[in-house]
Amino acid sequence: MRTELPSSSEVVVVGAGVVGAFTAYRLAQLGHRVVVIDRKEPGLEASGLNAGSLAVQNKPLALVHLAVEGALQWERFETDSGRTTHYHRTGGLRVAHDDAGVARLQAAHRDHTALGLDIELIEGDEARRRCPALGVDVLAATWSPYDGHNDALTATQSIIHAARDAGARLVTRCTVEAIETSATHVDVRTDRGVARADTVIVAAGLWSRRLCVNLGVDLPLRVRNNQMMVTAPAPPTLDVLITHASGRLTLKQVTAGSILIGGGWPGDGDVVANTKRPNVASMVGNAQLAARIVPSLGKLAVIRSWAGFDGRTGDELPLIGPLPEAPGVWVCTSCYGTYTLGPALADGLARWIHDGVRPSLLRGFAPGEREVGDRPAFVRSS
Amino acid sequence: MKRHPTILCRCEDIDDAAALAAWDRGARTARDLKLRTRIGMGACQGRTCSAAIPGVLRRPDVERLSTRPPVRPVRIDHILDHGDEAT
Repeated sequence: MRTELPSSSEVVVVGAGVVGAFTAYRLAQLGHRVVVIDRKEPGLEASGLNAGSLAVQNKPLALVHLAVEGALQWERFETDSGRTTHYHRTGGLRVAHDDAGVARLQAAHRDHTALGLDIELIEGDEARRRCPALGVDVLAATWSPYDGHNDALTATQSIIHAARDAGARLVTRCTVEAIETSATHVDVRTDRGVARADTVIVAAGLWSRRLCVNLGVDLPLRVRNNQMMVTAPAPPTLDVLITHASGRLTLKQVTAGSILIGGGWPGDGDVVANTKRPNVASMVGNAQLAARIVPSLGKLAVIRSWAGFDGRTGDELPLIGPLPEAPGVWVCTSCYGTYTLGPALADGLARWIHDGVRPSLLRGFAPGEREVGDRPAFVRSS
Repeated sequence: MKRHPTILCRCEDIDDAAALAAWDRGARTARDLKLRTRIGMGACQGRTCSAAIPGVLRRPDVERLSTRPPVRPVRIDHILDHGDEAT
């Protein structure tokens, strides 16, 4: 069963990941006629392949307010839409097991406090009191009440359902071949015909770069390949989100009892063929850190592991806003912690397009507004 | 005669009736079934049940579930033991 591609609409969103789906959801709620196009199905790439961490305290300082807003949007989505993403605002402990890590926690504690955010710096014993599974190597931790997690595997699908409830249309298995601008409209050329729109939003993760090439825009996105592992169901072990001062570990226990182990360890893969698989050395490194922080993980079995592609600028901040070179075309790229920030980026983008005024949270992140570092070699991907 | 359900996914204890019900509610691929029922998400990762899904649904065109490493469950302390070989 294939949905036909509407020949014209107000807004076409390219990419049915968290950002694209949520932007469509908000724009549809604001009364716009929106079509979401995806090459495959919703949430099959980075949006569905991450570990579902929704943490605030482990983000770069420039993104902390967006992360708080992202967590709020994720939370509000469930009450607004009546659909679940299995969101749990558990609070989170970001732990350190060496002096360098403790220094990082102290700096983050100072910076977050200065921004007016709740954050608590505690000693190892207090961290173990709050989360008895933590091992003796944990020297200190910061506690954030904002941290939590949801189910990345199904969340994008829920947002798409909500977007359709609000009137947006979804066209799957439709590949965008080129985006062409003119004085009056934008044409999105696909393998299933042309969709004409006033506004086109490119939110295709790593693949946004290729989609903008024929507009004369080379988005400086670097390829990221992150892998995850999940264990067999375990007895209740963790009721908070665990992150690490180094940024190399996330741990959470999900409803089914499994523990998800992540932390941005690099997987293997081939961008051109879009194949990705976990790297064994990364599995070992990730497992070593996980078992050092939560020793009882050692006796659990890993039943599944996977990797996913993401594309970010060198400074790992988002590029979000209209493309100066292409009237009517807007982009929103991935960044550090896109999954947490995604609904905040999307909500801001929708309100920006609707009101014509940029929300203050998105200030400084538009294409052309900052130097984002060198342009990585282009990898032609299918 | 009362029809007894057949267990399809032993790891997650999903029977054929649950899979058929998910199909009736709109699942159209093996991955849809997995997301809706948790079929194939247990210890064997669908290696046992995947082949039976098209037959149970009477949909020979449904593709097999994709499998993810490791081939068998591996204890984390065994992964740690193999650190030297991997690096």
